[in-house]
Amino acid sequence: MLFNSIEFAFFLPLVFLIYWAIGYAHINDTLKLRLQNIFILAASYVFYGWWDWRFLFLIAFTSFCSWGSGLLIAGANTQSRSKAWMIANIVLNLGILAIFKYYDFFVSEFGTLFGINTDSLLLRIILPVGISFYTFQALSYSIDVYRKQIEPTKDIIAFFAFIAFFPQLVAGPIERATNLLPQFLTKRQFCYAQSVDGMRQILWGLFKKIVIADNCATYVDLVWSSYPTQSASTLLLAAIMFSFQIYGDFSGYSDIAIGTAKLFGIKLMRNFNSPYFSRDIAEFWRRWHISLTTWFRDYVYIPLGGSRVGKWKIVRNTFVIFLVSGIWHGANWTFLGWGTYHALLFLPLILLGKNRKYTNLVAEGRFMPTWREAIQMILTFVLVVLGWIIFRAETIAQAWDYVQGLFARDLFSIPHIISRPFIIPLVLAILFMLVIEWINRAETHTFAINRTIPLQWVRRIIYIAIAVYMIYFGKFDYNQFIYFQF
Amino acid sequence: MKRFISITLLYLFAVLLVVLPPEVYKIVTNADIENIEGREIRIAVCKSKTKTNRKIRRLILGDSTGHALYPSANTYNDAVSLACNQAATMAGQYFLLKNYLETNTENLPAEIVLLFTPGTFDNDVDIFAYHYFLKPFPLYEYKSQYTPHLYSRIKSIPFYWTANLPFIQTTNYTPTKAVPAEEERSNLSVLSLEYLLKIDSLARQYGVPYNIRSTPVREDSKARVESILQDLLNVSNPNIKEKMRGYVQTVEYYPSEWFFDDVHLSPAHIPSDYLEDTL
Repeated sequence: MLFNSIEFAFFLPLVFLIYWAIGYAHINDTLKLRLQNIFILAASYVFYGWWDWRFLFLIAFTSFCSWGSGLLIAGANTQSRSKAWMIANIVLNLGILAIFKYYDFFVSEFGTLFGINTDSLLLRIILPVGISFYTFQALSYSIDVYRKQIEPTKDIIAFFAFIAFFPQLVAGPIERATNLLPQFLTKRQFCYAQSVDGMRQILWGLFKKIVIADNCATYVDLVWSSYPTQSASTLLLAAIMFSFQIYGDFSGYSDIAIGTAKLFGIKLMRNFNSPYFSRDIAEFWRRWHISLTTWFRDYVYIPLGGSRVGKWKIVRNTFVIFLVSGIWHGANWTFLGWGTYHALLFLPLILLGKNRKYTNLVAEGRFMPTWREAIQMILTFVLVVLGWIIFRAETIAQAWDYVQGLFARDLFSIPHIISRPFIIPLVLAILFMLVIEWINRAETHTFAINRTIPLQWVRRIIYIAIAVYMIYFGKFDYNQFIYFQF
Repeated sequence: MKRFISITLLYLFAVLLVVLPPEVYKIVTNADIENIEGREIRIAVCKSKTKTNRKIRRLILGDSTGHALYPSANTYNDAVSLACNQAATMAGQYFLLKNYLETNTENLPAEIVLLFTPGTFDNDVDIFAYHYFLKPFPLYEYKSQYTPHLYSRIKSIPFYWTANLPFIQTTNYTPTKAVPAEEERSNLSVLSLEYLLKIDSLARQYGVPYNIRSTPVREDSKARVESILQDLLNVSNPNIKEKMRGYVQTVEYYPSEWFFDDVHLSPAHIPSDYLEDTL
């Protein structure tokens, strides 16, 4: 089920009402909590099964194995046995992921490399939606239990609900057991302020998805489908549009997910923090897809030694983290190319010890950035846009062609736009998003306008205006979130 | 909780209050009808139900390539064009023909020409059917003429039943999942064959001869087109087989640069009267 679908418009209020009806029922708290967890688990499975019910068995299997491994890790007599159970769970989960996501790619690439016909060896199975997200969530649990950062839970329903919690099941944020699981084990109460904030975040997420991402997608798809014949200025505009498409799509999804979770009294981690206001690539990676980058940092980079090792190992670790981050997105050389590109941008910063230069807020205490900050942000954005070309391309050769196409004489010509009635509302929406996100860059999320815009009537007008704008300029027939495929 | 629900409903009401009046106005006055995609199908439906007051030599039905040659909105001396779009499916073509013949029983055309590009016959209800078939051919009016196969295909489109709601009917809205279940693709779909047979018997019933003719095809798609034509000739029904033989003979290959996409001729290369020029 998609967040921007009619089904979800009925599903969410229904689940919300039943969930809190249980919460307000005159029964004891333990039973109430258990019933709420059973209900949220059932609702989550309906949400996922709406796409393909067969893959519910896969989620249930992953959940069961990870839940069992947690108990086995904690109950093992020796450290080595505990480690063995953890490794077994990692191998199992990554094995499932490898079969579904990477097997066909590597087999066919192997065949191409050695000139072998591998057609009969290909599995040709559908990639289960969100498999990379819930697998990583399940992995974090067994690793955290092994590291004694969390006690294993015996409550199988709460654990299954933690893995399958529908707002973040298919596209994150990738939650840590240490943050989310305890929330399924404690009593939840309806909080008015939190729910209002959740609605605000849902509205903002829908705006970014329906108005910005999906309209940008129309333009981007059109240009990419005929890029060899497009002018350089059109290619540049499409590359910039794709940057806003992927940001609107994914951060929009995260906002809807986090906002929806708030309606159920559950707090999810932040996934985006105005990444396009970053002053260098290192800052960008602290602000983009935070739940994934911190996952790799905690479970891959730091165990490898992080940056507290020799220079060659720093180089190795940096490449490892960016390459796995790239391949996590999908089985394609373009994702590896994208990871390599970012590793190359990141390396000079980490080797010069400047990767943590900008941990503070940009233009802190000021409304406008300095010229220096503005130039830094623009340069970082340009580098990121170039990276997105590799990400969006179907092959490395196509990405290269596209980049070459950018450096032509007609770069300064007027780009092809579909039509003014299409492009003007879209550009206005992007500008509006940038202004709102700039104003709220210090807040808990980018549409927490209750502090930055203190006048309630102004906020109310903004909410209604956004909803109306969405109805008139939103695109309701684009039926996919980019990150579902990962 | 009560406060939260009340305020949420109030916001919804406020948004509706802003959005609904202009939408209602558009629906009531048909003010937005110009912007509806696939207008050519709706025009064809209107024309198919209109009595023709002059002698008609040729009634033209067709897909978008036929429509490019003979736009349905144009008036011709001794012809009527109901050519529209392949997304209307062969069932839509049959409905148009039936409407026209029933309305003009007293003034039947001398011949019927179906103008299709070879790829059109593979349509077995596709992703465009919600907008291009269900809306212009409302269920409540045409369901009785559905074959079981067509009905099963239509039922596989999620929310197919919403297409004729007044506030959806006159908009470009399509549900995000208006995609019918996958069927095995064939160059002559089950649906096309079923309704070609219906067209055949309808034409016989009214005693009007009919022909299926090809629109111009790109030179560089010859290999693909030849394989489609081969499949079309493999049809077992003798009447349709004969028509398909005639169809295959009318396929003409034009230079690829004369087309602006896979199948449509650029405006500069559209002949003034293709059928007259080639007959």
